[in-house]
Amino acid sequence: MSLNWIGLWTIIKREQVRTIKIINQVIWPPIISSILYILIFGFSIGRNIEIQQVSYFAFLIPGLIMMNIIMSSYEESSSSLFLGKFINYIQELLIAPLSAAEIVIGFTIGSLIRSFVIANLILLVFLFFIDISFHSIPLYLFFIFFTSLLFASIGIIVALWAEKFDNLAILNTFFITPLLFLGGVFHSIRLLPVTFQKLSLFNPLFYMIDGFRYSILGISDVNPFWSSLIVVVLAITAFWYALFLFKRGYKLKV
Amino acid sequence: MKALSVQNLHKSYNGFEAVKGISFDIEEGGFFGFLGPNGAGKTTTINCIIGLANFQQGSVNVFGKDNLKDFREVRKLIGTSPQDYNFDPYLSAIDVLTYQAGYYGIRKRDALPRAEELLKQFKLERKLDVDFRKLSGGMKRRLTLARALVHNPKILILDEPTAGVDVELRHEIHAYLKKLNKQGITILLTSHYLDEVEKLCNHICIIDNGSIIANESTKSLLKRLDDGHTEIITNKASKKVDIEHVEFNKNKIIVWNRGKRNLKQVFSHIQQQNIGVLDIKNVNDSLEEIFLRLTKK
Repeated sequence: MSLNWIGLWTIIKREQVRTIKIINQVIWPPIISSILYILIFGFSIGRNIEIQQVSYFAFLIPGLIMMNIIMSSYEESSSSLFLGKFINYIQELLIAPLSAAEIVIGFTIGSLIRSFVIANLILLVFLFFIDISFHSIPLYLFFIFFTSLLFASIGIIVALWAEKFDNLAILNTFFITPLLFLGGVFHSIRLLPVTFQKLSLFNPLFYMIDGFRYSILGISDVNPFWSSLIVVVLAITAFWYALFLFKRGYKLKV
Repeated sequence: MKALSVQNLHKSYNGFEAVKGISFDIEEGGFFGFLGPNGAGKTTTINCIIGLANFQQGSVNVFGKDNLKDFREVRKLIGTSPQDYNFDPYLSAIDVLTYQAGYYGIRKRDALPRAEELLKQFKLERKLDVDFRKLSGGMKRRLTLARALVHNPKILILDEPTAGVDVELRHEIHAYLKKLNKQGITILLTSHYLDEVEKLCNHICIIDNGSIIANESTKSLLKRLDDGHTEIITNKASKKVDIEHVEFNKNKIIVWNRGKRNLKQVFSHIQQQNIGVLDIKNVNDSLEEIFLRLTKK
């Protein structure tokens, strides 16, 4: 079956146009907030703290980047698709010679690009303050790709399910934010009491943060193989489910 | 050749049967009026044709291609203008067209001349870079039509294309649609302006409660269902007499078309009373009157 490459490229391009038009909402805030986190927690409070032989400043960087990868990939796909549903311009795509897979891939790549750009802009800013020698660039790219894929797919699923804008915030407020903060953005789970260490292992976001930290700093709380495996399995499952719902026309077609 | 063939189409949702096994064909080059009261099932039918609704039974073929199996080819053949404005909020007028062309597999450099030509035709050439939200209602309507045409479809599906536009623009759109139809584009039109349908369409299909209640050429529909009458105005009131399909109402005598054979009897009746005839006129039903009669519950 032939692929509508130009159609797919147009969706991706359209997602980038959208990002540029709302750059003050989506690109600058994560960069500014990351700098503020570093200034407060890294430079002032954490100046004399070391975790696993690295400075707290360096320790924070991967967590903050991963936090923004997760947030931005989810927000990009969920808000773009939901707005499309809300004002019906999604119908332009649904009646075009585009398959469900092409539309879902288009939205997903849009999210991947946004989170990749944000991750690297934040990293670039941090490199002004600290010298980091990457432990593994392929693993760094691997975690950006699969984590973005996972949360872009979740964003699509939530956007399909949502009836109003308020619904999009449910996942962010009640799941993503608490799991991020408890997942090791600011701390190593080794510093927690044993019970909380064990509970942290049930937090899927912990593996993304921990594996990503390993790709940059070469330190981790669990074996990075398991982190990699978990993020791949979750990303593929979420992407498959987003595709399944889109193909069925869930809340898109009558 | 049949441009569009809908066969035994069934569509239900939430236990409600919106379309009950309807069938109709549109010949290539036809101008097809698809009418029905609100909730009759016409939008659902259109959604099944263009891919916005999943149907349970039946088939939709466009130029011989199945709209599910050959969805890419079929969708390239159709241009749709929805009733509501559903533009991408982040695009300008020219981008609305070039992005739409992109979704249909046309590169921007190839789409641009066509997009500019359409904007010119629809008198929007000065609004190329204007955000669609800043366009007036009439401009948005014209942009909707231009968008439907940007990928050179062979069938146009127009849902209320003149809703909310002023009389002048309505006439302009009529003229443009006639021109497109003359060029060979098949048009399916739904409209609540029945005079518009009567004026433009050469075939009319009326759907009510999910079923087709009339499907024939405009001429034959008007002829077959016309319940017009002849009005005879006299200089004084005639005595009433019992003649089939004839009504006496003071100085006016109404002879319904189905009672025309009784005209001679009516004239001899008024002649006997030495009543003079001031005026005689034929009053035909409009499509609107026929539509209301057919869809009356």
